[in-house]
Amino acid sequence: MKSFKIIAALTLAAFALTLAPTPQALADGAASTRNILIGTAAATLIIINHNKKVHQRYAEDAQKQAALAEQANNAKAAAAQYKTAYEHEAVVASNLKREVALQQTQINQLNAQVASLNPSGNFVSANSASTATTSKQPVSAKSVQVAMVSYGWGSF
Amino acid sequence: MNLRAALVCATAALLIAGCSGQRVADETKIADDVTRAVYNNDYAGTVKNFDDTLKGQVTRGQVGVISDKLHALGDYQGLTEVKSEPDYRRYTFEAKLTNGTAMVRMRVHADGSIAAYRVDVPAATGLPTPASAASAKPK
Repeated sequence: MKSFKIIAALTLAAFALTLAPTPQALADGAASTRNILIGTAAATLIIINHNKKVHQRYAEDAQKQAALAEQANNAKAAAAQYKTAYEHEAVVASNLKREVALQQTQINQLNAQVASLNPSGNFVSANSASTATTSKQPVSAKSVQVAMVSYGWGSF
Repeated sequence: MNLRAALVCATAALLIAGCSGQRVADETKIADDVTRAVYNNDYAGTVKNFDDTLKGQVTRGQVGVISDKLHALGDYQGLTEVKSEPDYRRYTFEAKLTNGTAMVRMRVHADGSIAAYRVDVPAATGLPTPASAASAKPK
């Protein structure tokens, strides 16, 4: 392949030389032949380098496009993941809303029950603490406070 | 003369002590009767010694609620007075049940009718009662 390109380049160069105006013979035949060979080799090198750069650029472009395509694919996949995560979170939030609504319903029912049991307002009351020790118990007994609920009627 | 004075003083002291013991016994018996009636979900027995104002506040459902709370603490075994404020006719008792205790508070009128009656139970099942918490020793 490489030799084919060289031959083609040389052919093109020779054809171009035939189209060029014939210079006056200022040198001998050997020098003229040498100049022709040097020019042909230079043109060949230029063409080869040009092809090389073109393909390198194509490869770079392809790599860039591949990278861009990969990034695009990744972004698309990430977007899909984000969407899925959002949908899951939306479901969780919906469940939490239902749970809160259910708890509020239960609270309302319990409040209604308490209100029905407490028409006079003091049947049930929180007795914040009741001490274990009393006036008739030994002083050495440690006082322990326990949360109590008071049920009954009347005030003290 | 001295002997006679001593006898009078001794008799008076015995009378005072007897009256005092009778008072405690009466209040304890009244509180015990009411508490047993409440424990047995007996509405008529509960309000039997209540004054008219208090009778108007009591419902059968409320008696049932307290009965349930007491049953959650086990079998009722009686109560003992733990605090008294005679000036205000307020008394506090500790009701013993097989699985815990409850505090019973009562205020009475001069004629013996009950002006206020309350039962204090632990806020939640499983919480230590005042007596059990006090008797529990740290390990």
